[in-house]
Amino acid sequence: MDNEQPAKTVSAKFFDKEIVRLRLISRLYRAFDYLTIYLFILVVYGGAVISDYLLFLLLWSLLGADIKQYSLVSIGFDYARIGLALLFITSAVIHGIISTYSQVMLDIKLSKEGEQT
Amino acid sequence: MNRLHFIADKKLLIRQALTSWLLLLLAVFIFTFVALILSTSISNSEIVIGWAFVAVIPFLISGHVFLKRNDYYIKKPSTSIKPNEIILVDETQNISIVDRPQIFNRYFPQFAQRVKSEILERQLKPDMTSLMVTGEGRNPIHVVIYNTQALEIKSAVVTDTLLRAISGYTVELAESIGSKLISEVIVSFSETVSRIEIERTRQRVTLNIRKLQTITELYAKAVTEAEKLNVPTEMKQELVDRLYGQYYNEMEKLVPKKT
Repeated sequence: MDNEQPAKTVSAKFFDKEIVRLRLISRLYRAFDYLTIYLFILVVYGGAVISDYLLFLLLWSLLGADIKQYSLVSIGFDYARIGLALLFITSAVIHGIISTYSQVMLDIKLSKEGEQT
Repeated sequence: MNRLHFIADKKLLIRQALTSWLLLLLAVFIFTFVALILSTSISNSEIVIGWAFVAVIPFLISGHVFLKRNDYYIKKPSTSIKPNEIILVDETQNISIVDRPQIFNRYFPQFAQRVKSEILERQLKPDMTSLMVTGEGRNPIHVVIYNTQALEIKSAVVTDTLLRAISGYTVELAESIGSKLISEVIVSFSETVSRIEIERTRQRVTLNIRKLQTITELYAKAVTEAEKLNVPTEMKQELVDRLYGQYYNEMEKLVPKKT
C-alpha cells in the first residue's frame, strides 16, 4: 500500500499539468477567435473600400467628361466618395461590435456547456 | 485551424464578406441619394453630409443585425431547423407530432391520420413529450427520451415505428441541418429510463436502451463524418442512406425476434 501512494501522486500531478496545458491552449484559441474577427474586418472592409473606390474611379474616368456637364451628378459622385469613407469606418465598427458580442455570448455558452477545448 | 470558431465554417465566412460588402455599397448609395435630395434645399455641404450620415446609420445597424440573426443569409434557406420539433408519445401510447408533419408522414405513415385526429380531439400539449428533438444553428442536436410511463409500449407496430422515428429523425436532422451547422448529435435518455418494455406477441421483452443509445451515437457520428466528406452530394446521400440502412438493421437486432 505504501508503494501505491507515490504513484498516485505522480499521476495526479501529471493530470493537473495536462489540464493546465489544455486550458492554456483553449484560452489561446479563444484569443485567436477574437483576433480573427478584427483581421476579417480589416481584410473585408479594406477590400470593399478599395474595390468601391476603384469602381467610382473607373466610372469617373469613363464618363467624367459627360458627368461634368451635369452638376447634380458630379456632386453625387463627390458625396458617394465621402459617404464611402465615412460609412466604411462606421460599418466596420458596427460589424466588429456585433461579431465581438456574439463571440462573447458563444464563449459564455460553451463555458456553461463545459467545453474545454 | 478549424478549432477557431470564426473560420470553422468557410461558407459562412464567404457569405459574411459578400453581404458586408453589399450592405456597405447599398449604404453608400442611400447616403448619396439622401445627400443629393438635401443639397437641393441646404446650401452648406457639411450639414448635408451630417444629416445624410445620420439618416443612413439606422439602416446600417439594422442591416448588420438582420444579417447576423439570419446567419448572413439574405434569404435564409428553408432547410433550417426550428428549435422544437416534437414527436409525442403520451401515456395512452398515442403517437403524434408537432411542427413537422411531412417527416411524420414519412416515418409514421400508418399513424399519421390517427394522430392528427388525436391531436385535434384531445388537444395534446407539448409537455407530454416523450421524444423531443431540438437543434438550432451550431448547437448540438439533442434527442431526448424521457417519461418512463410513456415508453411502456405494448404494441410491436408502435415499437417498430418508434425505432423508425428515432433513426429517421436523426437522419433527417443531420441532412436538413447540414454538417456545417452540426457540432455533434447527442442522443440521451433521462436517468429514470433505462429500458423500453415491449410486449411482442404476448411475450414481454426488454430493449436495452443503452445499446440503442450507443448505436445511435455511433451512427450519428458516422453521418456527421459522412457529411464532411469532400465528395458530390449524390455520393453523400448514398452513403447516408447506406448508414441509415445499417443503423436500422442494428436497431432491429435490439428487439428480440419472436420465438
